[in-house]
Amino acid sequence: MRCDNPIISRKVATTFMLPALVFVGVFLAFPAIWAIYIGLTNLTLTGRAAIEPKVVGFANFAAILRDPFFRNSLWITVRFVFGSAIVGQMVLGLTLALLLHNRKGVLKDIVSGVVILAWIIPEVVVAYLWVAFLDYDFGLLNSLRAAVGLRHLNWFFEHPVFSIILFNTWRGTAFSMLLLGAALQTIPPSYIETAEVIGASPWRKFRDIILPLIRPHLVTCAILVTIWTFNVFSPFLLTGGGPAFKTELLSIYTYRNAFKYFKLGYGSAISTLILLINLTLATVYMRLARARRA
Amino acid sequence: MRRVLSLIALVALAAAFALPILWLVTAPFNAKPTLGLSLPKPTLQNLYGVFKNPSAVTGLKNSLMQSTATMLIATATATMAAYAFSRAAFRGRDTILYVLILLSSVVSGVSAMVPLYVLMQRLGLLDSHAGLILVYVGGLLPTNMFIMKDFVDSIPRAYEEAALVDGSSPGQVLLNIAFPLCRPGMAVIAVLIFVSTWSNFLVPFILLRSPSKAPASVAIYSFFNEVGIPILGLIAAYSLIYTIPVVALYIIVNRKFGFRFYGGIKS
Amino acid sequence: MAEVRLVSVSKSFDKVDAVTDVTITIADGEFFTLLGPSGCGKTTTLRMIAGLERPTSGRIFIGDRDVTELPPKARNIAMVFQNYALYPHMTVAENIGYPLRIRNKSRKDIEARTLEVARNLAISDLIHRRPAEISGGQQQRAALARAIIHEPNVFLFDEPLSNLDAKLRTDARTFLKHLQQTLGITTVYVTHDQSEAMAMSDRIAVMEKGRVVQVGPPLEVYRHPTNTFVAEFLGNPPMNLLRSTYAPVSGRPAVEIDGSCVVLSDGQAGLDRLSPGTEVVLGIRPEDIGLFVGAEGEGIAGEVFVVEPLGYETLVSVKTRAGTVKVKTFEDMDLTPGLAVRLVPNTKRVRLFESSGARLY
Repeated sequence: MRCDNPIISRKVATTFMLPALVFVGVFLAFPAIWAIYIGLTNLTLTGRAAIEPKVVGFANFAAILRDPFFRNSLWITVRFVFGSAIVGQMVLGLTLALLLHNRKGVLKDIVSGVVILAWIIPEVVVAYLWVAFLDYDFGLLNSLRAAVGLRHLNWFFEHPVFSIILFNTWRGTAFSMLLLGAALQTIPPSYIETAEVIGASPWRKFRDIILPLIRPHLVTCAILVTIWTFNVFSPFLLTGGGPAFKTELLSIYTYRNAFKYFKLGYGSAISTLILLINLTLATVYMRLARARRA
Repeated sequence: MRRVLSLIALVALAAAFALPILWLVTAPFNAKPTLGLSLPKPTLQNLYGVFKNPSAVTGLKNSLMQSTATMLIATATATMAAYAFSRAAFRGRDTILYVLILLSSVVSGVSAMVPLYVLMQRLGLLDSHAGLILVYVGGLLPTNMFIMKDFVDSIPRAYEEAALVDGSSPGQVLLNIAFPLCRPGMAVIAVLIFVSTWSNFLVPFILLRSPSKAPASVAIYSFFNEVGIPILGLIAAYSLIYTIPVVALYIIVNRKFGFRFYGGIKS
Repeated sequence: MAEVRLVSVSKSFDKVDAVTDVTITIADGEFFTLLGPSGCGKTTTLRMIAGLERPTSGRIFIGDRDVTELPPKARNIAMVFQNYALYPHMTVAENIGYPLRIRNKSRKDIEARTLEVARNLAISDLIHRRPAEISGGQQQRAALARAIIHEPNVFLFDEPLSNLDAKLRTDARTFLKHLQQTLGITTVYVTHDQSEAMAMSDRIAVMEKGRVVQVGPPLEVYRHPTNTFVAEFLGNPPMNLLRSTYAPVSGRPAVEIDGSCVVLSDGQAGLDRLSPGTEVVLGIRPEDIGLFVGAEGEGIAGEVFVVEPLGYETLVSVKTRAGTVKVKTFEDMDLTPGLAVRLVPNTKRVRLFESSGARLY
């Protein structure tokens, strides 16, 4: 608004912004744009094409779309995102937020503490914990099943996608719980009390009062967890994409092609596709956020 | 009745979330750990073992060094930029902010791993601490700059204006007034930056090759892959030692400032 | 000490005019108030004097110096902000001493002077606390102390009392006025509270939509408002404004309100050009109306609507056909709602405005 700002002159402001903008420009924005170019070449990690990459046009993209492994991986990713982010994290997060709403004391601290702990433990450690948890012979989950008379399951072999969905639901529920919990806080208590006074059942209270009021937050939450889940790499640490590519998410597919098969151009083309999907999701998010503010 | 049901549900959910974590607090103290849950006679042997293992110690040292350097550079540059964005008005400001938010969510480790690798290769920074730190700084800057900008926006401009009227030069205002006022916000983003760097696996996994430069996250991964089950005790203890700072820092931030989540994009 | 002069000062933000063509001269040592509703440009005017905003056009002088282009630090001024802007990371003493610290005074001088000022403002026992640890009234004094410590040429106040509760505000008002009288420093004071402006100022400038509409001593502005805006803005309750028709009676100026005639005192210039039958607005303050019980007789007829005893005076709302009229009476009268009364304005205190709002006399 005020262009003749006496607190910080334009020169100082520019100097202050420059380092951050250079870092972001060189190490974040440039790689994203460059990915598109590399994706149009046959760049490899070793061999002749490592030194003299040639522009091959859309050959990589065509090859990706023909690759059955890509389609396999895309389908796994869609199920993984829908199952763990939308169904798992959001439903569980909303349930927790509702159960914890207006609650105080030790129980609330313990419950939210444990859920948040699952969210903040570094991903390598979390991966180990789940390798141990789902282990066929000694894993805690199988021990618990045995205790109630069920057989040991070989989780990763019998239910590969379900296993990583279960894992990622556990891992990320905290965010939905916190965001939706904050959303519930914005509802004036008088709204719910009014409904109670006129005798609404808990279900009707939820459906008629709470749900419409937190709908914008639900949309925000859905887009954010979708973007993040789409960009998750931790299942690699659990399964390496196996068995037999059955948990090979797009992130792992990219890694395998670029760094195991050394096809950097091809990997970059996949990156470009992921960037485009991210961009679409983020743009939708920004549109909604802006519309709400206006 | 309803009260009891919700209580039972909460306890059940808390238990479900706690189950996978239990291994982390039992296995490190088990003399002969398995992947199961048992603690016959507690021992600290595994924890000593970590500090006697040279590559484990190197991993922690590297993590500390990389995280601290990233924290210092990113906190300083994010704060300066956030202050400028908050206090100065100029044409194109909103556009720059918009692009930055977009970048912070669109460009992730996963989506940019290939071009980042190629870029580092071209710059000759592959397998170097410096390259890793630069990539961290670039990746963490947008989000943390936004957190910081929100913080600066919440400080009334009247403080700086009062200092100007009292006779300060713009430099004195920055040094005597603005910087001290920004410190609590800087503490928060410093912790967030440190923790996300410390926890990161993918970026060092891609950009570093030599074990001597690998941070703890990559070291843990290679322990498991290269040596296998026999040193489970070491892995468990190492994981615990590696996790504790993260949890401790989160608790401190939570105590002091309350849990505000700063995921990717702020709504 | 210095005179402050604004010459044709204007300020616009993104094509929106905040202040338009303000010209005022504030005498050395004067307590001068900029009064107006929010958004009238008073704070922007003050901030331009402070150097926190640069005028789009016009010049500002402090003493003989043209300070229009100078930064705040070159103006030797002091300002007290609405929220006091006491630096939260410094103690009260460090806050008060800050203007001297940046003037590179010795630590000993700063300490001595800080203590002296704090003692004058009766906050010397609080100076080792942080601003967050003292009350609102104490914060206000600390902000004052920081403002006076370096003996500025001009004091600027931006609604410094509005964050205090009602009881404290009156005390702080008295204290502030006394302080200003003692120090004799030229003071520009911004407020939206007309009673504050009346109580404290040597002169008031009433602002509306970025322009100064009237400048003068408080009582003059109160008694002779230049238009209906000022008439309604000053006084609590505000001046009654009644639609009426100009209807001279045998050569003497008079207006007719709802059938009754109010004869105005003679010798008022500005009425000559009015032709009989012109729509005018009659302004009369609540304390300038006589209230008589009974339907018959002279005056504007009406009936009692609400009676509000305020202690010293009683505020009576009377419904007339020309609208509701507020009357202040100082006698104990037995008034009940519905009672028929007559209102007789004190013709010496009556004001007349054009229907556009401008003053006729």
